[in-house]
Amino acid sequence: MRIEFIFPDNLRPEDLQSTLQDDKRIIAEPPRTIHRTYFDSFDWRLYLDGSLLEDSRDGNSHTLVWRFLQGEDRNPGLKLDTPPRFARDLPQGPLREQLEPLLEMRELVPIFRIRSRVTGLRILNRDEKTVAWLKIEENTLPRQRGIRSGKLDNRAVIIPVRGFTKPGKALAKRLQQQGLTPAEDDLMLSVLAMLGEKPGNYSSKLGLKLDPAMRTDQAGKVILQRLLDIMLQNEAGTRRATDTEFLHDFRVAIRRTRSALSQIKDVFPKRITDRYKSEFAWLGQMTSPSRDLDVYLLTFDDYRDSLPLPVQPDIEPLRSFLIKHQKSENKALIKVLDSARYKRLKKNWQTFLEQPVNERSTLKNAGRPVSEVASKRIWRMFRRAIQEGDAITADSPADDLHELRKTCKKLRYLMEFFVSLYPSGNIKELIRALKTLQDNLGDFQDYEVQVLTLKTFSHQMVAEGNVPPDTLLAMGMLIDGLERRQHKAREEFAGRYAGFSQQKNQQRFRKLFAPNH
Amino acid sequence: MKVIATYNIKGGVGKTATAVNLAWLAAREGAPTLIWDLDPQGAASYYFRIRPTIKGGGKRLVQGKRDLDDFIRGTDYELLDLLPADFSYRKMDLYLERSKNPISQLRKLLKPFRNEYYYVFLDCPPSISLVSENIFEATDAVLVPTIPTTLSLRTYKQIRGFFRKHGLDEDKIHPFFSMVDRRKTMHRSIVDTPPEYMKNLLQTGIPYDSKVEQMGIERTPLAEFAPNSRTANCYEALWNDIKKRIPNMR
Repeated sequence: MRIEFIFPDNLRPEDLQSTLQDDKRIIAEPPRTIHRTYFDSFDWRLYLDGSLLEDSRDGNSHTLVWRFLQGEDRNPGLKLDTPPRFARDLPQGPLREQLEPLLEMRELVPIFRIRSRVTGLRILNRDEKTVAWLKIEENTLPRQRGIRSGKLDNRAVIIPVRGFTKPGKALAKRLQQQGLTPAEDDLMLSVLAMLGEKPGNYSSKLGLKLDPAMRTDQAGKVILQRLLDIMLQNEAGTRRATDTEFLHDFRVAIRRTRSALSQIKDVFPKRITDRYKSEFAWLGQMTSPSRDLDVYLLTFDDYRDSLPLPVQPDIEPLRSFLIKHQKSENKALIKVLDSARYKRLKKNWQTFLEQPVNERSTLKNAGRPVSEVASKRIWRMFRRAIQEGDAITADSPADDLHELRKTCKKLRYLMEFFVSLYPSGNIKELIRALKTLQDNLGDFQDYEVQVLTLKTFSHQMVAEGNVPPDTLLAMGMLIDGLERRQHKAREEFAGRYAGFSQQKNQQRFRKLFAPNH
Repeated sequence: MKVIATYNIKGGVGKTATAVNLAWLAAREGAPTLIWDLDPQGAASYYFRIRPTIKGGGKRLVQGKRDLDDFIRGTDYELLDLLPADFSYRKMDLYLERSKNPISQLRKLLKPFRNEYYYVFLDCPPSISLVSENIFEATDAVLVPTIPTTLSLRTYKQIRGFFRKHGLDEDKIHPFFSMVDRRKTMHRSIVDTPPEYMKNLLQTGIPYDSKVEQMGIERTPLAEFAPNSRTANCYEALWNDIKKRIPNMR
């Protein structure tokens, strides 16, 4: 395991080097200037996993090292021509296989850079075999993101060679004799702290702590403010459109905002809720075409693989079509984000949320404690879900399932808004039970929408000309496959619903949310 | 993880030099690589200045009593590790025979490393034995360095025969010409018109070169002390051939 040491103020790196080199078994390599960049995804997936990714550029060659936050390398360093933007850009191999499921579709974002002048010392044994490395680093923080450049700790890093533990330990002892002290943190982590970056500071989860006695209009504003913050945090990434998750989170925040406005009833004046419900509906609509195309491109490989092998190449023109349209849709989306209407919406909405609540509001729920209103709304929505679900039989039309899906979504959002008001284990268990049902209803709906969209695409492709007939045939096969999957989801519904609506769950809902219980 | 063996029944055909130089090239390209010195003579370990240290020997290793991990040593080169040879490997055959499922022992031993290494090179002992069968079972490719002489070709046919007899996948065998001396008529004629039964023959041959012998003095891979030599270039070309030949081996 690598150990980092910090130089004392009165010891210069070159002094340490010359002291150590009295030993003939310690050989210095010429110093090199290395540019190191700390990478993580926007939502800190690597940090939250307990690891960090560092790219070192030496001249034109890059080395990518993935290591545990405690310092142990998880991969010994992969040489690359350019650092990857996505895990999928990495060459096939163990690093990619482990990073891909962690990062999924998320882009790697450079968090900060540092510059290091590194002198490598090899510690040899009597066979002249290298048995440990010592890297003496003189580190500086170049000017970036409005932060002035500055000097960082000089460090000495012992990198043991696998299978040789003693030389590293002996070296550590010598360093301490010279006055160096073991560093508490990896240099990368201490710079992170110095820059005031709080890893994990972005999450698409609400993560709110509400006081049960709080006025409901006040609590509503806290929830809506958090949703606006999530939207704004994702706006720049949505514009860049490299990482599809930005737009996704942006849209989810819009959807939740609309749901909060209509589901937390009688807390804000009607003209306010009406106005913003319609404005956020507009914004949501404007972002839909881009998201639809993202979803197709994200699942494209799965679709292609679902086709018989000889047909698979035939579907590629659809990919080109999707990419072309994604580009134009993104341009359209940027226009929306630049529009006066959107800017006005953000500004006015923020102003409204910042205004103190009207303590003399005559609206029914405005002044009531949030815990009361929350339970009432959740209980009502749950009963509606049960009523709708119980009425669904094997012969019920698809529309009935869509209605139930919408009700479940409203219920889910309400539970997530108010999750902090209830004992954590209990409500989370119910959310999980609900999610199992929602996944089924979601699949059922998605397949239907995808069939319709594929049909629309095929017409569009014909209208735009040059679509090979084989591509249309392959799309037809995809539609068949999707219809089969939708059928399967429909068949699974009864079982999933029975699981969700079982007596035990109904009692749990009643216990947590029903009045006078 | 891709497992590549260098193998021949004959000794002194450039087996170890191939494993060492190819493994070095793989690591230099950024792929974490392990070279497992299975040859009791320990030449690969010697080239990397690593002493054979497997105390308790092959017996305990194969019985899974010791974690292979403990024996792996880092070489002087980034991303390149080595599992040293041990003289007791000589007796490995006996130990394998006694284990429950002797043929898949080696594969089982390597399994924990599949997330760690991209390539594993097995430098195999000459001979045909239960160890070899284990190796053939565990590998994605068996590279067979073959000197272009009648006798060596005969040996090559014996290897194919062994594969056939034991129901092993003959497509794993990838021969290439080694220690080619174009001054010799027999070498020239065989290299220029290789016999048809040398299926999968790799295009690049490795010339006879005293620099390869110098590896024993320098104790480093060829490209470290003679980076621009013809033979170093040949190893690089050979490595490129191999990667093209087996792009998706896992």
